[in-house]
Amino acid sequence: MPNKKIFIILAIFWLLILGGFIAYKEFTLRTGTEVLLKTEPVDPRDLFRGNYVTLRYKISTIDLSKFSNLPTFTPNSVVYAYLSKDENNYGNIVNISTQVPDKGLFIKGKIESVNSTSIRVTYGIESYFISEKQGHKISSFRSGDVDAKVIIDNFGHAILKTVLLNNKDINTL
Amino acid sequence: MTDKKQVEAWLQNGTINQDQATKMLSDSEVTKSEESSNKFITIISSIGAVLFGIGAILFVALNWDGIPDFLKIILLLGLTFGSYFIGYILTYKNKNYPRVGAALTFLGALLFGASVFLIAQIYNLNSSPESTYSLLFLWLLGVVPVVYFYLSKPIASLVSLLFIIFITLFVGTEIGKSSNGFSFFSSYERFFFDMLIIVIIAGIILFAIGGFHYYSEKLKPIARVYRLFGLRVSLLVTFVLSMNFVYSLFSFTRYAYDTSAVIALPANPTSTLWVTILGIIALIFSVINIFFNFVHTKIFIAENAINIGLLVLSFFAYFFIGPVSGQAFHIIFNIVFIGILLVMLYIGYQNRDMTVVNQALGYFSVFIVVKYFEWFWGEFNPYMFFMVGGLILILGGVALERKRRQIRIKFKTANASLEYAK
Repeated sequence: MPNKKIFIILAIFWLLILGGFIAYKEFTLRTGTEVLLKTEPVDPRDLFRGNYVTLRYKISTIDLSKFSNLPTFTPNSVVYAYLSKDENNYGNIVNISTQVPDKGLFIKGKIESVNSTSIRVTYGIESYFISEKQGHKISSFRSGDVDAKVIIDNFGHAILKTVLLNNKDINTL
Repeated sequence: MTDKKQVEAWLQNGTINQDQATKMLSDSEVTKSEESSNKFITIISSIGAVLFGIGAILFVALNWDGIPDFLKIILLLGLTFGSYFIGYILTYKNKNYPRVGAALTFLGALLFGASVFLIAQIYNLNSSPESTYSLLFLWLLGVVPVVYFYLSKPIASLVSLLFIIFITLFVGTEIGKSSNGFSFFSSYERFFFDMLIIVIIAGIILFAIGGFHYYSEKLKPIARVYRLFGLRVSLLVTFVLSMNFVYSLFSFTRYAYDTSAVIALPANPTSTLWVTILGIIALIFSVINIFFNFVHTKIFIAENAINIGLLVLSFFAYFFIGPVSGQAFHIIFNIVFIGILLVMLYIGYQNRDMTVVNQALGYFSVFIVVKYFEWFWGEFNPYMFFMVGGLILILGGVALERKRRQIRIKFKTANASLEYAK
C-alpha cells in the first residue's frame, strides 16, 4: 500500500516533468531575441489541442544559390540558419550551416526536403493555436499581411510568441 | 461466494445441516448485494472520472478564452494534483471511499496528460506527429510509476493504450519521414498493411511485458491488465487481416514500367527496420517468458509459444505479402484467428477465467457476422439475406447465452468446491 512518502515522490515527479517542460520553454522566451518572420498560412485542427493555423515562413524555403561553400544537405538532418534583423525587426537568412554557430542570432531547423536549388526547413514554430472564438480570424490570415513574432534563444531554439495581422497582435483584434 | 444449488446439494448429501445452509445462503446474499453495490460505485465513479477527464482535454482543445496562460496552467495543475491528492486521501489515508478515490487517482492521471498538452498548446509547440508522440511519451513517463506504486489497474489500462498509440505513431512517423517517404510505396497501401503488422507486434510486446510481472506476486493483477490488453490489440488486428476487404481493396503489386510484368510493391526500408527491431524485441521477451519465468505452467508456455507463432506469421506476411497472393494470407489469417480463439477458450476453461471465455465468445460472434456478410452478400435476395442473417443471430445468441451460462455455473461450482475444500 502506498504511503505518504510515495504519494509525495510521485507528486514531485509529476511537477518535475510539467515544471521542466515549462522551464525549458520559458528559458527560450525570457533569454531569447525577438524576431519578426514573414508567413504564408493554412489551417487544420489538432485532435488534442484544437484549432490552429499552420504557418509557412519565407525562411522555410532556403534558396541555396544565394550561398557559397555549402555542405551537403540531407532530409531530416539539422540545419542552422544565421539571421540578421533589418530596421523593422524582420529576420532574414544571411548564411546556413550544419554546424552549431559560435555566436550571433541563429535559428535551428530540420530539413524536410532537398532539391538541387533549395531546401525546405521546419523550425518547430509552424503551428499557432487559436481559440474557437477567434476561429473567424483564420480567413483574414489568407487575405491579410501576416507576421509571426518569434523568440529565439542562444541555442537556436525558437518559440512562436504571437501572430501579427496587419501589424497588430491577433489577440488584441 | 456460495451458489444456492451447491448449498442445496450439500444439504441433501448431508455435508451440512439446515442451520448451516440457512446461514451460508443469507451470508451469500449479503456478500452478493455488497459486491453488486461496490461494482455499481466503481462503474459510476469511473465513468465520472473518464467524463471529467475528456471534458478537461476538450476544454484544452477548444482553447478557452479570456484566461491568461499562467492561470490556465495553475487551474489545470490544481485540478490534476487536487484529484490525485483527494484520491490518495480517500483510498489510502482515510480509507472511507476507496472506489471513488481510485477513480479520482485515475482522473489525476488523465488530467496529467491534459496538462502536458495544454502546456504544449500555450507555447505553440508544433502540431506534428513528432511532437504528438513526444507529448504522449511525457504522459506515459508520468503515469507509469503510478501503476506500480498504487497497483492501479485502470491506470495500467491507460498505460497500455498510450504504449500502443505511442509505438504506432512513432514508427508511422519514422516511416513517413524516411528519405524516400511514401514515394516508395506508390500509394498508402503498403503503409497501411505495414502499420497493421507493427500494431500486432506492439500487442505481442505488451503481452510479453505483462508476463514479466509474474516475477512478483504483488504485480500479478497488473500482469493480467497488460496481457489482456496486448491480446485484445493483436487479436483485433489479426481479425482485420482475416477480412477479405484488406486484400481486395488494396493491391500489393504493380506493373513494372519497362516490361509490364507484375511485381511486388517493395517494403519501405525504414518500415522493414522497425518491423525487424520490434520483432526481435517481441521474440526475446517471449523467449524469456518461456524459459526464465517463475510461472512454468504448460498453459503459460503455450501462450508465449502462440505469441511467437503469431510473430512469425506477421513477419512472413510482411515480407511476402507481394510475392504471395493476398488471398493466401486471407485464408491463413482466418485459420490463425479461429485457432487463437479456440486456444483462448481452452485456456479460459482450464483457468476458469470467465473474462477470457467471454472475450473469445464475443470475438467468435463478430467473426461469424463478418463472415456471413463476406460470403453471402449478393448471393441471396436482400430480404432473404437479412432474414437468414437475423435468424442466425437470434439462434446463435440463444446458443451462446446457454453455453456461457453453463460454463459460468461450472466455474462457480468448481470455485465454491475449492473454497469449501480449503
